[in-house]
Parts: sequence; C-alpha cells; structure tokens
Amino acid sequence: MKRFLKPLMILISTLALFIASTSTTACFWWAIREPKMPESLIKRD
Amino acid sequence: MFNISVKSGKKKKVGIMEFPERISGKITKAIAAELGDLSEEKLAEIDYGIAAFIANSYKMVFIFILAILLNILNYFLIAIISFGALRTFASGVHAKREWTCLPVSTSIFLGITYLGITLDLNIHIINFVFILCFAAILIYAPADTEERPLVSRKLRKKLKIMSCITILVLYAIALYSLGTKASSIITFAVLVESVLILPVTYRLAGSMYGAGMKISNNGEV
Repeated sequence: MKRFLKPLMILISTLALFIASTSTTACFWWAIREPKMPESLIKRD
Repeated sequence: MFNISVKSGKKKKVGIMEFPERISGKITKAIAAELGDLSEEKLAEIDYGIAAFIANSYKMVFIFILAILLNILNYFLIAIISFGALRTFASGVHAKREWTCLPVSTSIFLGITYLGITLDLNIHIINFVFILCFAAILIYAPADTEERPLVSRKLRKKLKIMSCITILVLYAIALYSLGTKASSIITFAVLVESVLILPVTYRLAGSMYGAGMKISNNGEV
C-alpha cells in the first residue's frame, strides 16, 4: 500500500497544479462557486 | 489549512470552511507529509486545485445525472456547452457559499434547457437578445471575483476579445439552427451568462465587481 502512496500523491499533486494553473487564465469552473485563489497564482503584468 | 489561505482576512470572516476546502486541506496535508520537499506556495496551489475540482465536479455529475433522468441530455449538452464556452472567457458572478451553489447551478443549467425547449424564439427576438448581450460583454467582460481576481490588463484584454469572438460564433450557430430548439437554447444560455456578468447581479449576490481592476489600479479590495 505504501509503495503506491507516493506515486498517487505525485499524480494528485500534478493534476491539482494543472487545474490551478489553467484556472489563472480563464474561468473553467462553470458551476457557480469557486474557492479563493492563492496569491501566487494571480497573474500580473 | 495552509498559511496562504489562512492569511486572508475575508476567509476568517466567513468562519465556516466549506467542505471542498476541508477535504482538499486533508489531502494536501497527506501530500505534504508524503512528499516533504514542497514549498508552502506550491502546497497552496495544490490545495486550490483540489478544492476547485471537488467544488465543481460533484455538481456537474449531479446535474448530468438529473439531465439523463429527465431525458433532456441532448438539449442540456447544447445549453452547457454554449453557456460554458462564453463563461470560460467572460467569467461572471459565483455563489459565495457551497449550499447555495448546487441549487443555483441546477436551476441555471436546467432552466436554460427547459426555456429553450418550451419557447421558440423568432429571428427578431434572437437578434435583439444578442445585441443586448454583445453590448454587455463589450462593456463588462471579463467579470472577475474577489476569489479569482483578473489583475493583468493584458489578460483582461485577451479575455474580452475572446468573449466577443465566442458570442459572435454562438450568434452564427443560433442563426444557422434557426427554427430549432437549439437556437432558443443557445440564445437563453448567452442571455443568462450575460446577466451573470452585470454589476447589478454582483450587487444582488453580495459580490464585488472588478476586483482585479481595483488591484491593478492599486485600489483597496
């Protein structure tokens, strides 16, 4: 079980980071609620 | 929770943490324990990604199942694709609380579908609605939120152009499919999304319109 835990966590983290980074440029969450975006993801000129 | 999300004064004011954030917090803690070398910043981003996924995916699954049970899946797909295509770039108001979100999302998506099925819109009404919606998009899109402010001017300009192109494409499709239910559904989807970007809708929902613009102008949010 522990052998699969690390790859699973890496997979979840990668997907989560992908979702987070795509959310910075457009509103991909069409359902009517969104969590607070971390400062580091807010794009600035 | 992690520093970045706890830092926000507004979140503390809300007090109750919504369940997607609670679950994402637990998963992120497990990730932090397993992959030790991640920075606080990265963990906050992972936490946000997981929370965003949970907060929205279960609602979409619920609404899709409902559409299948009501035997309106084809029409529902037209509604959600038209609405979603415009919302991707134009954004718009979001519910503040989890418990209001599911009924509001369900009413919006199924409402658009049923209105489109029931009411056959003629070309004059479609033209009128699209002219009004295009004006709204031109003036108010992209409409961000305090939760996801669009600070970059370049990004805002790009999203406005993309919103205008999307509404024109949807107008072309609505005209091409004139006389069918698809045409009415697309028109209602565009109408609802356009209403969701109006400052008056933000005021009614207790949200702030133009949070990103205020940040880029160094204003207080």
